[in-house]
Amino acid sequence: MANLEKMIRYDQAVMEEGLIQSDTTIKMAGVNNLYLLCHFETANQSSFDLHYGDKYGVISGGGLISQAPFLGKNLYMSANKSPNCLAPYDLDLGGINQLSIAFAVKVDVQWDGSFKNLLKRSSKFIIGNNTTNLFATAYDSSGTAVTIVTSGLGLTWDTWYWVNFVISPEHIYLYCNNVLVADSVIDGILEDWGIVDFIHILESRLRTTYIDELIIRKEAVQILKPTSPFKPYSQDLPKAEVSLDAGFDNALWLPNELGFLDETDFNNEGIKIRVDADNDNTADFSGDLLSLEQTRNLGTRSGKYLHLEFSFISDGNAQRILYPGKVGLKSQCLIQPRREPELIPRF
Amino acid sequence: MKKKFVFVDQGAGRKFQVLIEQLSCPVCIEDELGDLPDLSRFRGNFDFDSRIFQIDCVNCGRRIGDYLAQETGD
Repeated sequence: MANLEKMIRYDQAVMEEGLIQSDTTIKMAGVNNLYLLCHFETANQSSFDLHYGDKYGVISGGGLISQAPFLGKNLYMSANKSPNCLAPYDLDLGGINQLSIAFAVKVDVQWDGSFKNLLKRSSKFIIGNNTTNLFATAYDSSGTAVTIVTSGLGLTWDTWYWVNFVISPEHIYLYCNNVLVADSVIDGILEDWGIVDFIHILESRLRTTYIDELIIRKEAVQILKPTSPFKPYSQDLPKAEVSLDAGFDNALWLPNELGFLDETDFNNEGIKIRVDADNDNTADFSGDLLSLEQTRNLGTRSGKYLHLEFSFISDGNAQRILYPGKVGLKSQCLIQPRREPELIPRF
Repeated sequence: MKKKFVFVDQGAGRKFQVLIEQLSCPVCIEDELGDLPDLSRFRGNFDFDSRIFQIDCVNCGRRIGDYLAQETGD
């Protein structure tokens, strides 16, 4: 009997958080309301990697970033003589009334007690430090600069801190290492954030101040955790499951005929598979995650249902996409071969 | 531009507030720093005991002012 083909669609797919179904594909989801995310992982002194929404790009040259050395393999941005500026063109902060800003910061020498701007967007927000404490400024609806200043924080030299400033319509919050260190009510915030403006980083001209993993989101998220979980594409290995119904028991599924419309992310180890087959529609995935090639070499699987589990793996920067596919199957004859009657001689 | 500073002692659960109508250095106002709108050009120190917020100009070191803060329950 000729082999049949079963199309692999995702209408009924069961998906974990971090994945979104779009048309006929399943994609890794980006960070909600992401305005800007800079990992500063580009080893080119005049460029940096930039994420916004579900897009990704590298901005370089053009004076967008000035004299910003990137140090070592684990790269971050450091200050230099001039304040460094990020100009995220084509980004729109207009018409919102809440914002979250987070970044890692380290200072190698003692601060002199003056207010130092670590991050600033003109007339919108400022985050900085003052000796061993932090401050943050938001502008309320009357244009008054409201600055909250911490006390007794005891910041020390040569230590990375994770700073998170949250602006909601009626309240501002400042977190250090995910602990609330200052907050205040405000009389509403300016909603006209403008479309294009410069974000100044390390404006205080401290040569030995470093910043990394800058995240700006257009929503008030109280705790924005650093690094990988908040890279645009999750490192949390989200999974999607789909079950195919042959329509008859004991179908023979043919993994060697498994194929997808686009196999790019299978080939670059971005999507791994596990399979199971049964007649009672109870998936049981176990064992190692397999590449598409390894899955094709599994041999036939028997059952009315074929269950496929897809694990999405990302280095944090690459969005993985699962496209529709197909798999071969055929029926198998379960009628036992006819046996010739045994002649038992009678005596 | 008005500036409101809220000093927060999160451990003690206390907040003090200062509202400053204008912040500028009388000496440096004519130089290239302009009207000193920027926080990075001031050195500030708040004493929780006396509730005095002292602000100096980073550029010339001049004392800009001593401001008495009010405790706030916000």
